[in-house]
Amino acid sequence: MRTGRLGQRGYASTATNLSAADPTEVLVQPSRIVNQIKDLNLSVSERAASRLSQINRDSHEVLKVGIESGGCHGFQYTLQLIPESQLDLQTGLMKGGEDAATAKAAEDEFEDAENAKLTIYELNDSTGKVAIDPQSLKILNNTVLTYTKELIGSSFKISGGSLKSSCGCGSSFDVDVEA
Amino acid sequence: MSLGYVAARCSLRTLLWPSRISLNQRPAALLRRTMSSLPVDSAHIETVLKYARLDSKGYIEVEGPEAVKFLNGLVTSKLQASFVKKNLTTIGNDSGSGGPQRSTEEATVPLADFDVTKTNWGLYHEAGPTGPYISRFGQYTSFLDGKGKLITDSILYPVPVTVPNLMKTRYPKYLLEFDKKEMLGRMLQTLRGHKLLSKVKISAVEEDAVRTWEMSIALEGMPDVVESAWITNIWRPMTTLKSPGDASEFTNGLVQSLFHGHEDKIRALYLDWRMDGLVQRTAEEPLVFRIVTDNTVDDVSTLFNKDVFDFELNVVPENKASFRKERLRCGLLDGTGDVKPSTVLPLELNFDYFPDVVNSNKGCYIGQELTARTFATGILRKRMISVTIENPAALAEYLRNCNATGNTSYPEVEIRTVGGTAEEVQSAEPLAASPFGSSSKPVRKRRRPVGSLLASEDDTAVVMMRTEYFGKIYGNSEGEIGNAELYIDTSDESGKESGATEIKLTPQRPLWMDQWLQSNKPNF
Repeated sequence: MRTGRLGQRGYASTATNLSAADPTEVLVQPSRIVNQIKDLNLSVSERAASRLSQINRDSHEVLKVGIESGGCHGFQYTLQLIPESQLDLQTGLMKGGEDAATAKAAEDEFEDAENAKLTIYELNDSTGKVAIDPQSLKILNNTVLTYTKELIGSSFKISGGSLKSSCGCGSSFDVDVEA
Repeated sequence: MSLGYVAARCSLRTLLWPSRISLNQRPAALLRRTMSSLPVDSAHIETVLKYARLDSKGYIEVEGPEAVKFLNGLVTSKLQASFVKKNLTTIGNDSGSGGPQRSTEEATVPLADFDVTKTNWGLYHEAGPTGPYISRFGQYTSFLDGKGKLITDSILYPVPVTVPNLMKTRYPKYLLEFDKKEMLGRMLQTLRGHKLLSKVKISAVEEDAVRTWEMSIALEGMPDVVESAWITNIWRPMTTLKSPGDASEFTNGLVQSLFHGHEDKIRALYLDWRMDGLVQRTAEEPLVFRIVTDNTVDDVSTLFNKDVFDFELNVVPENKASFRKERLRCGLLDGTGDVKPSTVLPLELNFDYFPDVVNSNKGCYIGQELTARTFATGILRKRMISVTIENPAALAEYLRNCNATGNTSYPEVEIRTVGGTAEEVQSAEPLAASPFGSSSKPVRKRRRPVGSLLASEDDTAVVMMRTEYFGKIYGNSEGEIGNAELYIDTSDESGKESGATEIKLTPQRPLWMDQWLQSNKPNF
């Protein structure tokens, strides 16, 4: 799976990080979770859920959350809006993209089959959807995905869990080493 | 061996430098030039080869299509030409890859276009005289923690150094060198923790599968007027290689020349060019190699091809301590035996003066923030210098006693004007009136240490010095000379046997000091 650039269509999908989640945020109970992993959870706030529903309504896209190595503090977010048609909602697997077929053949030895199965949170009667791979979910366990409107722009934000310290621009963070 | 500063060689360079190396010419052919074509009297010159086994190193292998991207986010060196700037809210004038200052004499020649996720293509180097180049030799680099402090340095090697057919290789493959005991396990865990979804395979190389060697080869007796053979035959052609294919061909040719008949035993190769960015190498100056061989090699000097130079070969077995001493004398570190993790910054270790170790324009990597900020503000309060120790035995005793009392911090170094006292040198800090009234006892003004002794070997050591005292020690660029001396106060800890209460340190002049004095213009 290639992690591409962030979609920049009118709404900023970058994440900034505060180490502590806002306790006044209202969280939304997902209507359905596909491939739920025991003991691992990503919470979604009401604001994020309604924004996701809006996005899904407007452009039929879902938010794909990922973590990759790099960035000033060790890890950085990759938040992407991908067309819902590319995601198989039953199995959590990505389907057909242009590069999937060619990439598959050569790089199967590097592809971990387990990581290909995404956990999907469906919110607000399955109108808003968030997908995340198991590796990233392990690191983002117990964090909250929310959506903020600031003067500088509106963006999805992830905070809480074991995330600590972030870099100045907010796109990189470090985690407390889990026990 | 001296690192002489040879001035005014410009006129000779034009005579000796081969006509402009065109990119079509096979670089390997250059190596066949022997020294007999140059105006030297070969009877008085000998090739001196010193070597030692370095048994404290272990290796981690990283391979995969995303190996370059993965490593680029973790080390201080720039490993690929372009990068994505995260969270860019303003538009700069160098979006995408920037570049270092190009030499104004030669035009910049760009790299050939190729896919960094395919084939075992080698390493990207930005600091070349005609712009970036590709090489299959190792690159000295470092890993930082999130706060910007050095965890460990390392050498990143493309492996294997020679490939018969580059197009048949599948992915970039590298070896990372770490101290076996202190760092290998920790770095393996860190790398694995960062792997996530990256398409890389990370594995530790079995301990006895490879052997590490240090080797230094000097042409002693070579007259100063001749350009160093290492520069002419290796460095110049190496820095013109703009494609992985050229790099592979050149490296195959070089390894074949230097290690004729034993090419298959060499897994990876590092050439130490760190001082070359600072001063022109003299003809006698040795080139230091680090060689990773397979485990069938018992004596690396037997692999060297004695016919590569026309002079008699003199092989001198050394031990790793003498290589370490020479390294410290030049202000070069190697591993956590020299500096403790998370105690110093990479720029304090003068990495900015060495080619391609630290890059200020490579996108995001761990520890980048503080490093980038220091580059931007130019404010660096400490730098490492090399010193000679007047009484090595006293220092050894002092260090032993410190360890015995559990004191593991770096020994403090203090300064005084020659013939004066420490209080005179340090700016007088006016004592504020105590709100509790004056105490009956006279308070001794606390001397603030001006440096810390990081590492030592015999009579050579490296000290992290506050740069505000450089003017006092080295003089300034206007020609005033320094008049201060350094010492370690041992009166509280030891010195009982030697009877000394202090250990005098004689600062050596680093090769970058002239540059530093120029740009910083210190006051006395």
